[in-house]
Amino acid sequence: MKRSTWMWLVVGFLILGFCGYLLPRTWLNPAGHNAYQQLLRDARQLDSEINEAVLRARLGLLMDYDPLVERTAALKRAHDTLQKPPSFVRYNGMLTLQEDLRQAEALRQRKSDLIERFKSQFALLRNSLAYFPNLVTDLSHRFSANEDATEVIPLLNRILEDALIYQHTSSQENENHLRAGLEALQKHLTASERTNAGDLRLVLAHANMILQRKPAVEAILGELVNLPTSPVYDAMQTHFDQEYAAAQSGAQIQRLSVYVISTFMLAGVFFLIIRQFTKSEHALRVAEKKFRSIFEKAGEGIFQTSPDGRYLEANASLARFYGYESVPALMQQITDIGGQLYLDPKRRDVFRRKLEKEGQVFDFESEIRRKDGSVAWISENAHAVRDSAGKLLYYEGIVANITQRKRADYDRERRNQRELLHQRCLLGLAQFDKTDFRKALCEILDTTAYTLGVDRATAWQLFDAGTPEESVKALGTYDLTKREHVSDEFHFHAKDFPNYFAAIRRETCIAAPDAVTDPRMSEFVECYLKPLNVASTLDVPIWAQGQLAGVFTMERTGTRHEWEDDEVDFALSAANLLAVTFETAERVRAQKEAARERERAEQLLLNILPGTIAKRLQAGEGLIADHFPEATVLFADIVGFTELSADITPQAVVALLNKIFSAFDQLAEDYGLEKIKTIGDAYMVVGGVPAPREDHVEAVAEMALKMLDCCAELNRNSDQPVAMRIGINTGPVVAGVIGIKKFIYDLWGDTVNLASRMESHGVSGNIQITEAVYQRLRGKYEFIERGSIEVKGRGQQTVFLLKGPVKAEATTVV
Amino acid sequence: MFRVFSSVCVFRWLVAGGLVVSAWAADPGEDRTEPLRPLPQRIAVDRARAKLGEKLFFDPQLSGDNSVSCAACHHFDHGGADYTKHSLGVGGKEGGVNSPSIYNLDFDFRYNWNGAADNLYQHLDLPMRNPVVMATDFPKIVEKLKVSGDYPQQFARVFHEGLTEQTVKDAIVEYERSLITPNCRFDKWLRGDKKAISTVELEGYRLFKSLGCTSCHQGVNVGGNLYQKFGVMGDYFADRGNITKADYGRFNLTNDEADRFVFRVPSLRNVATTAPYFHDGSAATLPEAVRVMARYQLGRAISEDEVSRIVAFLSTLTGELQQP
Repeated sequence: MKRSTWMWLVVGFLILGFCGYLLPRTWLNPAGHNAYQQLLRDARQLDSEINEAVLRARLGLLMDYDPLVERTAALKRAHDTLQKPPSFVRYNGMLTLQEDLRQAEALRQRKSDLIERFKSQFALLRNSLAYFPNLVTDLSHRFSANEDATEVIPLLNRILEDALIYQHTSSQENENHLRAGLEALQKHLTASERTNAGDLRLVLAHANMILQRKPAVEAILGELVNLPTSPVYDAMQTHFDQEYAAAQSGAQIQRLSVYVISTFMLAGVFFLIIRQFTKSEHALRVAEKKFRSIFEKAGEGIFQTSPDGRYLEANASLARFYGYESVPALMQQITDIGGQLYLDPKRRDVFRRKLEKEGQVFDFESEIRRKDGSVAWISENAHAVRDSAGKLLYYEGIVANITQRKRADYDRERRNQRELLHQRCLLGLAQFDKTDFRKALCEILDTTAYTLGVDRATAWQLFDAGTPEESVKALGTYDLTKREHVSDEFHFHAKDFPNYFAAIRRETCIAAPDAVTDPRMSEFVECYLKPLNVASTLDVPIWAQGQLAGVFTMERTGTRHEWEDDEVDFALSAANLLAVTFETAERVRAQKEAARERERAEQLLLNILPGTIAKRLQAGEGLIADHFPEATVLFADIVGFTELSADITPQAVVALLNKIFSAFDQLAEDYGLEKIKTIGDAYMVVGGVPAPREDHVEAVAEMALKMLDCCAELNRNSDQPVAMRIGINTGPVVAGVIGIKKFIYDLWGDTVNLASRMESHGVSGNIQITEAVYQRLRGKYEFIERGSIEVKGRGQQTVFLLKGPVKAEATTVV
Repeated sequence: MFRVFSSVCVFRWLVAGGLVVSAWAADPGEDRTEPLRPLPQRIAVDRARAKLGEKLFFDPQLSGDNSVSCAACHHFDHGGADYTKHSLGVGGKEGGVNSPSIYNLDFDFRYNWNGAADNLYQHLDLPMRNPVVMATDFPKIVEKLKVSGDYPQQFARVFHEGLTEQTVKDAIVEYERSLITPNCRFDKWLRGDKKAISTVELEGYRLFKSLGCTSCHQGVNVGGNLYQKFGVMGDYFADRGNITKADYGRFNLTNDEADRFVFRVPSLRNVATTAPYFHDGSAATLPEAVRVMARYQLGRAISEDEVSRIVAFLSTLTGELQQP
């Protein structure tokens, strides 16, 4: 059977059962039964009460009709209510009861009518009975004065007496007596037409009223009391009881069926519940199994631990992770989690406090010790399990192995730190003064060695790049093991290591964790790696200005080392720095050379120009022409040089001139005079230019005397005697440099021309001076006046010959 | 479930029974030997319904031409009865009988002079349908009230069913029931306060009893609980002349010759305030009414002294009107 069919069947049963449960409520209604029973009882009671009230009224015990009216109305209401029998009354029973009620209602109606009649009739009776004594008394009083009072008054009193007795007796004798009295009164009335006949007729009327109403009232009363209401109510009661009994027996069947249905219903409910239970149990079992499987197979460790630090439950993953062969082993051997498991013995307390405070912990990371002593990182997610009273039962949670992550974190952290360090080092190195090549090199090498922890860091310079003679030479090495810079005389030629040289040009770097087996390093195995016990190498080319300038190598001895990216980066950066250093060294060299060149040029310039003028020229002055108000110009010429030149070789001439003029140059320098130029065999020197000086005339005069002395000295050691003619003049000159090529500091002006004339017109071996010079030197030197001579373009000029300083004893007065 | 239900029923019947018993049981202060009984001080009334009924009672919309209200014939300054002999209905038409008081109706057993209505609900229909009284019917009244002012809202507040024929009647009946006049001096006397009435009044009462008046005028309402013929010892109508259909009384309902000239015995409470008297309003004053009663119920005139004493007694039946 399909599941849905079962379902519907059960639901059907349920509905059926529910209906069955409802049915008896309408069919057998005890409340309705009780109410109807009570109504019947009330009706019967009211009926009898009405009878009682009527009798009481009749007997004069009840003076008013209100109770009668109330009960009559109440009985009517009761009958109205009785129209609706309870629901359990069957159709036939309903008809029977309705018939009974119809009878009862007819009786009630009849009774009601009788009551109305009783009230009216009895009221009349009472009225007459009440008024009769009043009337008789009144009439007796009035008749007492009459002539026939003796006849009528006793009669009236007899009638009154009889009437009052009549009221309370059913005696025929009394009635007859009353009637006889009344007949007598009637006779008396008809016998004599009396004035007060009206009053007597009223007596008769009231008495007749009494006589008539009493039987009428009695009749009504008799009928009223004897109305067969009780049998009707009894019948109703019986019929109703029958109905109830029938309903009850019907209800037995009903009840039985209800029980059956209820049983089915309950069974159905139980079935459903059990089914649900089985289902949920099954689901629970599946879930449990699934959970078990998850629990067992979970990659993460799952645990339940007691507050005192024992394992209540753990899965295999946890045991495995903690290094125990099985879960029971873990649970047996760890009795104090805080002490045994956590590296930090206080960690468990932190864990517990946190759980105590927050109820749960997330990503609670701790370092733990495995059974074998190795350390691992765990992350715990746990919560506290409590009973309904809030008492802590145990902690429950999962453990994740985050050692890898932690290690990665650590590595990343370390790398970050290292990178930071590298950057700092590089920054330091970058700021380092690289002009001192050797120092910079050492700095880079030892920093690299320290930073990367390599045993040797070596910088190699490439020589003869691109030629067959290409080679690398170790510039310097820092040996970390010795902690010092060493100079190894390694020199490798490219032709011996073509593979390596190709690789170093081709690749960014050669990172060889296993240098001995690395194909790129194969050529060095025997000659270098093995002797030095090198395990891992990191070789970085040094590129300077687009050219391979060298190689930067780092070596680790002993154990193998995997080069990390950041280490390689550092090495590359260090190589760049080395390249910079190389370039800097080259630049420094070039700068030094350039400086030397410049110095030489400056020297040259200074030779042909006075220092101050040369500086001014260098500073950018294009034209220099200074006026000096006074300067002393000297011309010297070698007498007979033309002839002399013809005799000796030009080299000898030049050598001679060089010899003489060099001596003169020295003299000029000694006296602080400015040599202007040599013109062939003539030598020109000036005093007071470019630096003005007071004693420029004296200085030149001294120089001139020395020049003669110098000549004499030369002549003594030479086979070629020379004589000098010297002319001196003083006066204003213009000094300057003209032109842009072949600079020469020159003098212009008459003073210069006259100085030249003094020389050309002079006397061999003598110093001829002008009047101006004589005036300036008079008193200080001895002169010989030559007198006036003809000077070309100047006419007659008085000239003197300077002979020497004044001697004390020989003063020449001119 | 059954038990609870049945116990509720039992409780209900116990309460009902208790009420019956308490109504049957004598008031401790009450002299049960007297034919007259005092009015209860108060009766249970739904005030909200009675208030609504009061509004309706004074609303002329309850008549066919919106000209007269219930209060047009039942004056509150006149013992709940009319001043005139015959009341004027819609269009100024004259009704057939004198309007009786509408006080203490709960203690009357039938309504209308001829007892045509078994209860107040039935009674309500009679003047409404009467062409010379209200000349309308309740369906029409309900239609009117549904579009009149805030009646629908008020009814919705008071009645779960809102404004219907039944609830309109309920309201009016509740109001009518609420109009009782307890604490008249004679009731106080009945309850034991012997100084509540004067000697003359007490003599009047004794006379009232000894003349046989209490044969009919007894009980709480001093009448109102039986039928009696008008003219037991004399032909009132022949003497009065000009007999109308209304004079036939219950005969008009039963066609029983015994019921000719039989009327509901009216209550004598507040009788001093409800002139004129009798169904035909023929007695303009109370002494006159007393004389007529003696003449035609006893068959003989009573002295003026007796009349005045009886009138004195009757004036002690005027109570204090209770209103909702």
